Formats: sequence, structure tokens, C-alpha cells
Amino acid sequence: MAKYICKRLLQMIPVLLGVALIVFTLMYITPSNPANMILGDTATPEQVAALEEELGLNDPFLVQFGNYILGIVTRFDFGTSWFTGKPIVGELLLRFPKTALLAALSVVLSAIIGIVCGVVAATKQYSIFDNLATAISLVGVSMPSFWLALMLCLLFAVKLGWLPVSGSYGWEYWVLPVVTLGTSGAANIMRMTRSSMLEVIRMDYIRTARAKGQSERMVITRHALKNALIPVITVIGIQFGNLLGGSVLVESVFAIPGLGKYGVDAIKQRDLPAVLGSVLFLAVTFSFVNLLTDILYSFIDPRIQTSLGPSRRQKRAAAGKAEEGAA
Amino acid sequence: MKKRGLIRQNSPWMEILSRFSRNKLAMLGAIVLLLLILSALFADVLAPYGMDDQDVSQALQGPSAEHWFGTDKFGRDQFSRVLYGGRVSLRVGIVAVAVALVFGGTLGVIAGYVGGKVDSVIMRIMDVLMAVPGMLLAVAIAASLGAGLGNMMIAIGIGNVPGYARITRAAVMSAKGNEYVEAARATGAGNLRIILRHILPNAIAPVIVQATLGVASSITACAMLSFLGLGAAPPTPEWGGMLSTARDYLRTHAYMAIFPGLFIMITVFSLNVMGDGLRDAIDPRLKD
Repeated sequence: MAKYICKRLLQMIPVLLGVALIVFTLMYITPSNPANMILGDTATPEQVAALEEELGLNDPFLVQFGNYILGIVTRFDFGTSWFTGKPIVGELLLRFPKTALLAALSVVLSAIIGIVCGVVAATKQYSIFDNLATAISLVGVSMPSFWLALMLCLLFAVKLGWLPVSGSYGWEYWVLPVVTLGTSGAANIMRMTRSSMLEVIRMDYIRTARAKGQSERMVITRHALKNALIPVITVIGIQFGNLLGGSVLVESVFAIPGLGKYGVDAIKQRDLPAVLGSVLFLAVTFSFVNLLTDILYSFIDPRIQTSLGPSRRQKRAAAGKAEEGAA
Repeated sequence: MKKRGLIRQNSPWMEILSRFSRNKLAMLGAIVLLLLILSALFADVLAPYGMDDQDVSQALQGPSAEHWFGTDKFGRDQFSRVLYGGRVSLRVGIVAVAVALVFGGTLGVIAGYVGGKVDSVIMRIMDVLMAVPGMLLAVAIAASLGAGLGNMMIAIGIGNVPGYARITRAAVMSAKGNEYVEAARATGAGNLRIILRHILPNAIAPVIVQATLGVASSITACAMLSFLGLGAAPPTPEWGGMLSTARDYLRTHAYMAIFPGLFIMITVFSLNVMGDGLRDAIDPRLKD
């Protein structure tokens, strides 16, 4: 297992380097000149030229990219904000816990609701509950998260006055953002759990389990659910990525000072290093979550554990299936 | 199932169409989508006011017989703007998917057909793109390129490329192994001919499903980028942009936030049920 984790960590290096290259290229091709942005309109051409030299903007692309990577690897330096002049990494670390908490709470909420509803819907296929849950989940996946955020605000904060609209001071501030982000996740997870359970329930080993007189509850939890969970876990992993993307909007709607809001504010100020720093930071988080889901696979499916991690083909198959479900 | 013998005489596509038409929810989605497309196309005729007709005396009026969805702070009719906004959303959704299809599809076909090292290189690059959640990638690209409709389409399109590459690759790989491909090769058909005439028609079904669902997610992404101020420049009406404005009036003029969002949801919903219906129609085994 340790060997597998090490191998996966090593595999992450080229992927993250690739992400950094994309992010850096985006920064490189942007039409605005950082020196102008930092100095403002009043700067003389000489000042601009001097700062360009100082920032290394005249170096070839690869040298600049090398320095950017070296800065991140050796000094954990994601660059300096064009707007505040402060190092970005401090701001990112300060805000990361809020985003992580928001995403974690939403994933937990959506996984619980999604799996429970999915299992019940599958075991009682075509019942009222199944139809209702399927209909609600279809609406849930179709609703843009920021609109749901606005509607929840409107209902629970403006009309009913039960919950605060913005900020992050106590638990009550987290209810609406977590529900907003959790909704589409729960809908996706429910759909996947339902279809995966329906597939598993028809297997011979389920019939065997029933035939040997095991209680229905044991059949569902022990035999069916355990086998149905693998594509569901893939979806949960993908959901986490969507949540990180969605947090960008939901944080800014509910004024939660997390990475997403930082990124949005940076977009408005055209503070590119800050935008790309937060994207890179979220991508790194996403990669670790993916690694975590893969490790989780092996706990749930001992067949994978014995071969030290799923083969590429198995994983692709599971991911493909999950994507189909998620889409 | 009893009708099988009859249907089998039809072409596979007719069979798919007949299965699709029997799926009530999917048909509903298709009809609603058709209505939305028509209302966007004929917005000039249907909309009671122009998309940027300002009448300050009518500013911030709630829904009424004159202004079905109310008016905004410039007194612009929200119903007309929602209709015109459909043009932008649908166009962005379709163009972004087309961009993703062309690039992702081509890469997927090459990777799946050629295999070997080419396949590994392409798929490693796709892995890199997939390491960033699609929405985030779109935000980053749009932020770098600057606001605007064209940039937004490119940003959303690129974010979608890896998904299409993977699906096309898988479909091509499974079609490649069939005997008819071997037969085509034996008759002396070239690679391009084999791909275009024999593999693609047999690999296209999952791609069509993905594209339908992709238009839905691209419309959401479009609304999201506009909401962040990275979309169409005002005064062009766009659903996400309208919601962004409505946010400031949530306490006092909530109706402004309701209708554009409702239209996004209905559009995305109908595309989703249509995509699901298509998938079930194309591969009935997948149906529960």
C-alpha cells in the first residue's frame, strides 16, 4: 500500500508540472502588462522598463517558467499580487481552511443524502419515493449553483429571516452555502448510486445471498452496496472537483472569505497572479483528493488492494462509467 | 419487446429514434428545447420590447401585464431581455461544445486509432487538463483572455476537451477491434477511409450523448462566467449577467433574480433529460 501511494505521489509530479505550465502560459499570453498594472497609469516608460527587467519579464518564456516553478518548489512562492504587492501564498493559506471546510461539509452532506436516497430508490424501483427522488435529482443537477444560492438567500434570509445571508462567523452562516453546494452533488451521487445498485442487485451473488436466507438488510448493505460503491466513489471524487469550482461562485455570493472569493475578487481587479495562484492551489487540492479516492477504492474493493491499486484500464472503465452518470 | 421483429427491418438510427420517441420525459425535453430555440431565434418578433429599450419612468417595476417579468433599473423589459438572452446562452453552449468536439474528438480518434506512444502522450496531456476542474479551468482561461463572448466560448470549450477526447478514444478503440474494420483493411481501404466510413459511424453514439449533456453544462458555465463578469459586455442580455445584476436587488426586487435563473434551469433540464433519453435509446442495455 505504501509503495502504491508513493508511486501515485510520484505520478502526480508531471501532472502538476503540466498544470503549472498551463497556468503560467495563461499568465504569459494575457494582454495586460504586469509592470503597467503594478505601477498604474502615472508611471513613466523608464519606470515600467525598469520594473519589467526586475520582474524578469524580458527573459525567455522557459526561463520565466523555470523561475516560477523554482519559486514554488524551493520557497513556496506563488508570486506577488499585482494589486496589494503582498506574496500570494500567505493569502491563499489564510483562506484555504474556509474553502476546505465548505467543500468537505458539502461532500459529506451530499454523499450521505445521495447514497441513502440512491439505495432506497433502487431497492424500491418505480415506487413513489423512487420517482420523486429521481425527479428532484434531475432538477437538482439542472440548477446552476449560484442561482440556487440566490434563491435560498431569498427564501431563508430575506423572506423568512431564519439564516444570515453573508459572512462566516458561526455555524448558522454555513448552512446555506453547504446546502447550495451539496444539492447538485447529492443529486449526482444519488443518480449514480441508484443505477449502480440496480445493476448490482441483478447479479447472481445477490440471488445466492437471498437464497441462503440472509436478511434483506444484510443483502443490501453487505453484498449489494459494497459492490455498488466503486463508481459512486469516483463520482464523489469528481463532485469534489465540481465543488471546488462551484465554491468560486458560492463563496462570493455568501461572502465567505475563502479561496474562491479571493480568486473572484482577483478577477475583478485583474490581479492575474492571484487568480492563477488560486487556480493552481485548487488544482493541487483536487489532485490530492483524486489520490485519496483511489486509495479509498482499495479499502472498499480488496481485489484492487492485492494488485496494489487499480490497473489503468479498470480505473478508466470506472471513471468512464462515473462520468456518464455524472453528466 | 414484442415489436422487435418489425423494428429490426429499420435502420439503426430509425430504431433509436423510435425508442427515443417512446420516452415521454425525453420527448418533453426535446419539445421544450425546440420552443426555447425558436423563442431565441424569433426574439425580434416575439419580444414586446427591444433588448436595450430603456424607459426610466418604468424602472424597477414588478411583473405586470405590460412587463411580464418586470423591469430592471433602466426600465428595460426583463421578458424581452430573457428571450434575447437565450440567443447568447444557446450560442455559447453550442459553439463551446463544437470547439470541444473538434479538438477533443480529433485527439480521441488519433489516440484510439493509432494507439501506442501517441496514445500515451495524448492521454497524459489530457490527464493534465483533467487535473483542473473544468469550471476552474474555464475561469482561469477567461480571466487571462479577458471578458467577451468569443473568449468565453474558447474557455468553456477547452475546459471540455479532455472529456470528449476520452469518450471518443474509448468508442474508437472498441469499434476498431471489430471484424468489419479488418475486412475494410483487407479490401485496401486507407486509414482515413477506415476512420471516416467505418469507425466513426459506429463510435459516434456515445459522443452524441455526451455532446447533448455538454451543451447543458456549457450553458451553466456560460451563465457562471457572465455572473463573474467574464461574459458578454453590457448591454448584451445574458442570463448569468442578468442574475449578477439582480443580486444587488435581491432584498427589494426579487423577481429580477427569479426569471433568468428559471430559464437557465429549464434549458439545462430539457437538455439533460434529452441526453439521458438519447443514451437509453442508443443503448437500451444501459436502461435500468
